Amino acid sequence: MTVRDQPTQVAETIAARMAVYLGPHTARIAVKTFSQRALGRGPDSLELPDVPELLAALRPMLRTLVGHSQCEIVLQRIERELGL
Amino acid sequence: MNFKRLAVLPLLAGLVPALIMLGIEVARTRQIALRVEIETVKLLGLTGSIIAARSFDRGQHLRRAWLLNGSCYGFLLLRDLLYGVWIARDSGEPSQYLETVIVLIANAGAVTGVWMLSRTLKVAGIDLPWSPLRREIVRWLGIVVGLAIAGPSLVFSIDGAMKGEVRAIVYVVSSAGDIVTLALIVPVLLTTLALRGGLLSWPWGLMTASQFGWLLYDATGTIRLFMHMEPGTATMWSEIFRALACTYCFAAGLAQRAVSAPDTGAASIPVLPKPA
Repeated sequence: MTVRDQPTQVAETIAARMAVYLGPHTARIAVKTFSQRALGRGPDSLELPDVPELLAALRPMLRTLVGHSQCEIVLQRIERELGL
Repeated sequence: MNFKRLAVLPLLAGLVPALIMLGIEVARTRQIALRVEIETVKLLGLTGSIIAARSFDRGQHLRRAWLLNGSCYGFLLLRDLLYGVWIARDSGEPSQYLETVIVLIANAGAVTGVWMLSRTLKVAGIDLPWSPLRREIVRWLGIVVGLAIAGPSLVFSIDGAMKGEVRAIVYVVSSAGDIVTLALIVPVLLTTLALRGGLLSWPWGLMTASQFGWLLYDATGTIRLFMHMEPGTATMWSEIFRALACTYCFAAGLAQRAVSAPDTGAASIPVLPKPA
């Protein structure tokens, strides 16, 4: 990964919260994959205004893995941590 | 929940068949104790699957996967109940064919359940962190292991099955299901590895341990085909592995519930600092 590809702090915050459940590696992959899919950009350009769209994209994935209730808690915590 | 303790408890359950086989001298009492132990661990496997399934909403992928996995335990318990209480195996063809049908349904449930578990990351939209070539290699490795372990009993039973012997048909169905299930251990293991470092690695790791328990259970049967082993010793080992397989499934269900239940686990996680 080059310096230019470094994820932003927003991306790192989201990945860190999801890493609690998915592990650090899969959490980073998830942020990268869904950021590309939802926004057409990588985690290196992720900023606060992108977060609602990214979280909406992450919701089905989190629901599949941790269930509805825990998924909503994780997403709420991410929003809180990012001050949204 | 203390996940480490949850991982150790099945090992204690695995000691029970050994204690029964080595500690009870009267054959009839030993047989009854072993039967009670077998039905108890199957019931635990079913309970764990239902607990895990209830962590997910209706229609969700993992709810269906866990329920299908549990259906195997459910149908095997039904078979044991029917043939232990009401029906004698030698009471005629219909009763024998009924057993075949029940075993077929149980195996179909187990295979489909594990197959669905193995596809979970794909369904979630995440690629496994390995190259397609490496994944293909390990998938074939799983198939080879499955064939090596459950293949011989399939080969030994196929002649009888072709002649219409019901017992042989049951073995063929069961062995074919085992081959597929054993081959699917690898993708489940890869999912566990992908989730390492996260809370989800606990239910997935415990489920992988359950699948390895079944692998060893089948391996005991295969070893018996090629090596001389005292029947009592073979029974003891196969029951140890069955107990491990079923109770690890129970532990996996509890772990999944703990990870998915609101505020469990998450409550103790510190709030991360805001980005600059």
